[in-house]
Amino acid sequence: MVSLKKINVEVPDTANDRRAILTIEDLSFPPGELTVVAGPSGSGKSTLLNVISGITPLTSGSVTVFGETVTDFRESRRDAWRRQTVGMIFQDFNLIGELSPLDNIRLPESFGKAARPAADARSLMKRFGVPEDRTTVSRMSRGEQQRVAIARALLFDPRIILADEPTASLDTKNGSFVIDSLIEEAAKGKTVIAVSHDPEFAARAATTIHLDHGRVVRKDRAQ
Amino acid sequence: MNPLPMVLSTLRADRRLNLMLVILVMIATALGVAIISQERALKQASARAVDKFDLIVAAPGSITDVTLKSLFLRPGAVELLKPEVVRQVVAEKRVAFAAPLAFGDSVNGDPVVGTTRDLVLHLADGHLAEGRGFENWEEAVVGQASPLKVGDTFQTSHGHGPEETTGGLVHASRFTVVGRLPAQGSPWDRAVIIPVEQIWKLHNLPTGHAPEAGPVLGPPFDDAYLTGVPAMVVKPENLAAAYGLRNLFRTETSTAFFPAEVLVGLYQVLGDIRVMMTALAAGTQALVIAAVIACVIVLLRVHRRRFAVLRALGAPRAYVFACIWLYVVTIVATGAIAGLILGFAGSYLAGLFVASQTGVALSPSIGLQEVSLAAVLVATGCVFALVPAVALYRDRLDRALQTIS
Repeated sequence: MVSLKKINVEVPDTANDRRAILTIEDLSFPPGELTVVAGPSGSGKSTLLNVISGITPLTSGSVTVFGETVTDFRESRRDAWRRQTVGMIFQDFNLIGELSPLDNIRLPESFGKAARPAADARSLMKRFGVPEDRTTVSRMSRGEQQRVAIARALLFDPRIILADEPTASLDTKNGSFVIDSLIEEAAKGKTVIAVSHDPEFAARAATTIHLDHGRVVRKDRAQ
Repeated sequence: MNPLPMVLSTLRADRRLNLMLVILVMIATALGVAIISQERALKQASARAVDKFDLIVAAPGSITDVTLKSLFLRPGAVELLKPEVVRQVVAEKRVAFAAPLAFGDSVNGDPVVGTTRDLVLHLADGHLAEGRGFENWEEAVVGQASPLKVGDTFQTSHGHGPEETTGGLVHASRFTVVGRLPAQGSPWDRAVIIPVEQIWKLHNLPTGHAPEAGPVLGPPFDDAYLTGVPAMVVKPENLAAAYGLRNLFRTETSTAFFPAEVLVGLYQVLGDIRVMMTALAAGTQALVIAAVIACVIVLLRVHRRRFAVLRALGAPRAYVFACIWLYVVTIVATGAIAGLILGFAGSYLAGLFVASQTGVALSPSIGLQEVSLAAVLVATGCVFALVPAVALYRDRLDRALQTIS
């Protein structure tokens, strides 16, 4: 379970003023479910993901993940925790263009010692249909690149998957593949949270949270 | 932690710019290396070239001029040492041998030196590389690099150097090459050495021996038939004799000097030039390092998001720091190592040019000083690489993730 309590994130606005970009009283994300976060641009969707992953510092509040208060972690512990507990998927994939698909997937292994062994990167490639004959990911299609990014996110079999607009730059076929993959991961008991404007995504999610001006304005549960 | 995959990918990401930075460092290093290496090679080669000439006695005047014309065989006229001084030098008891030098002719542009068999054997350390020393007036010994072979015959042309050989006058005497000197690493390697009596005879001067004595070779000379010479090479019996003779012949009518004295003066000038050139090279290196760091900072601002993504994936700050630092150090170290090689190559080519112009054989090498220069450059690069590394180390992750890559 991922729980957010009394979250407040402020950023400097004018010289002597600060502006709240995310204010959440109480919000939970249960394991085994895909939750879609929707809302207009600037509503705080990406900030919410960054708060959960410990990237954005909080002005106040706490984030608890499976009983551990992440916001209390020192930075080095938070980095290690994020590497193994959180799988990040980005809209623009953020792969290292000069590396091969295999090296991209295995890149988090090079960050330091891991408490848990990494999955077999070649198995992940096979599972997500990543072609093995490409020397660099820059020579791959966008759909193929997103498959590499998903495989990279799953390297340490994380308990949480955070996806920021993962289908926004993909065609329908590849978008559906990404949604299927995330639902499959949720079915394994992972907490999957995806920011998306894609109606298909919202339709297949267990819960859709609507944000506006940094606040939760609606929460829809699938029937 | 293994930052190498990211270092290599960052190098590949902007390969042209990175290559340009490596080339900049390489040129800056090569400049300094070539200057130091060339100066040392020049010193060693010039010292080696005069090593066999213990003491020179010549007419009063510029000892540098005498050294260049008598030992480095540069074309040009020098004032002659008077016959009475030649007589005095030859008669000295503390002298192992005293060999007069005489010039003025050439063979296919190579200088002809007239001297005695003693000096030839001294230059060869008693053993010629090929054949033997001359034993009559029609025989000659050539330097190691001379195109003449043992057994060849030749005639000498009057004059040496472009200004003196325009007349195309060929002397009547014919010589046979009977020996070849070992390599001297000096212009003597291209010299054609004939008995000094022949030079005097060809120039209508007394031959050092009475006409009725016939073609006698070498000392003792007949005092009545001695002539002036450009210089005399003296082999003193010992060190004390060398200093004694030097003092003895420093008079109003002659000068005596150790060739090393001339070289010390030249080295001082060379050293001053080297200091100036090294300072310029050091300034260039500092500018290049600054340029590399400035380029890297700009480049990393472009790639700021790339490193932020690594952090988002769980990379610690230290990993990003190591990636940037190693990336810059790789550029500087690669450039410095390539610069060492290029500097050596440049020094080698400069050595070939100097050898072709002067006949002095240079053997450039890479010594501790050049390696230290490259090491200092790399060390400076290591320190300055901290600037971009710390900048990205301190970068705020959430803000960096919002930048557009």
